[in-house]
Amino acid sequence: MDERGQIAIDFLLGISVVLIAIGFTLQFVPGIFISGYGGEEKLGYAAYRTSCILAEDPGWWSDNTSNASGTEWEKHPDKVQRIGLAEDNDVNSRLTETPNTLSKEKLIQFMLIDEDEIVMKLGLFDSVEGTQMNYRYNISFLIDGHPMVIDNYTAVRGDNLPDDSNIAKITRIVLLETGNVSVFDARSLTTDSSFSEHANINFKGPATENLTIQITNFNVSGSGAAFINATLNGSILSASSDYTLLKRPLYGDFRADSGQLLKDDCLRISFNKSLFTSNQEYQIRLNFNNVTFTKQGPLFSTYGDNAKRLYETALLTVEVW
Amino acid sequence: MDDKAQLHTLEGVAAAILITMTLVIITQSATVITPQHEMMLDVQLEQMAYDALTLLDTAPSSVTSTNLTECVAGWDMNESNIQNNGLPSLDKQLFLLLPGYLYNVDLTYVQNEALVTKNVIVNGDPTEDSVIASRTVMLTNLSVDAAHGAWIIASDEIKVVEVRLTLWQI
Repeated sequence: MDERGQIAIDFLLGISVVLIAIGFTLQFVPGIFISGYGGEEKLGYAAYRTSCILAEDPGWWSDNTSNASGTEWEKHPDKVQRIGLAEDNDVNSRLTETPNTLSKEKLIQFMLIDEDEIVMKLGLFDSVEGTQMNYRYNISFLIDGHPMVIDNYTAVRGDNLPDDSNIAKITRIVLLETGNVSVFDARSLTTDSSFSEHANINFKGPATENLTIQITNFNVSGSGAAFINATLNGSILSASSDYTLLKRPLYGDFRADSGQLLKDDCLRISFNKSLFTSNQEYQIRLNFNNVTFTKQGPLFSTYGDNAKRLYETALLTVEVW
Repeated sequence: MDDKAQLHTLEGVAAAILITMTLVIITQSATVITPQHEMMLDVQLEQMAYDALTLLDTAPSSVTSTNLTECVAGWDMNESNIQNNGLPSLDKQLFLLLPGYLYNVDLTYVQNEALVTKNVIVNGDPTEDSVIASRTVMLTNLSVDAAHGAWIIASDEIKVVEVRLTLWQI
């Protein structure tokens, strides 16, 4: 009998044991063969640290000659020590009581600041044998998955994402200041004669930002209550180019909805700032159906009396690679 | 000429190539399978949970219709289950802030010198890799009255309640 060409049973056994051992090792020790594994962890730390500084810290500036300092670095962008975007009421406190609430002025300065300054101040680099290696990064402020546009600045810093490298990503939920809003209780809004179905709001021009009027607590006088239109000094405004209308139900989010108005709904109307360019008194009239206003003017409600900052929920994503 | 064992050598070479190929294929696919470190995913999830609670607590009234303290103050004191949601106002706001995530909310407070934990929002059993974030709110007689809640708090008393958010992803 010719015994050539037969696999020895010992060999088969040996090779099976080796293969099982290799398979086991690979299965239970993840990342054992991934090169640059330690580097990837460093990217994670950099992304996390950057997101925390931007979202929770108001930043800091100081001037060595005058010994002045504070958290309002957006007013002294060339003397910034630390870049943070959180809003702060007390500029000397070094901390903020409103983390995750981001200031519009700080955000705009963040968009304008020098590239090297961002890399240095946020520590987006690594030292390899004494040489500085900059990380590449993308910092975006997203609303419904799209970058926000604030005063003609698109809220994105950094490079486009690569297709083929490991990216460390951290997402934070933040409130972004996007302008100002005047919040009114419908029961105290003024009208020309009591129980009319329109409200008058005065504004002293010129406007530097869009005007946003938010109204709650409607006195609904019948079924089919609704907002009809808005006029400015007597002329009817166009619903898409001059203003946008959003409605929020009690416990909900603002949506474009011109349907029936309920008592607890909150109406938000944003007027384009280009309507209010001259230095004069403007009167906005909001016309409703089956909604009455009782407080009779003059004196009419004014926009400036209740003006506050307007915030929107957004996602801050920091990606580093 | 002794020609035994010659094919064994060739089989050995073939086996070696096989092992090397297997190793190469496995290592290359392993890099694709783990794009992000597991720790980072946990950190991300926990950060989202804390961010949601922080926002609900500190947001100005023009943003949220009811903030975290007002939501908790308006609780009817009845323990919830998966059918019966105890805090619809908080649930709806969390749902908007955390799309695609599942969460439970518990309230922990001291009553009659004993620590009480009650479920107020139940969306199911958390998975093994869920995270917990917590934030404390302070209730007074006035805030409970304003929110029409069922808490019994004396006018000179304050009650500290810990809001615990358990968050997970499927």
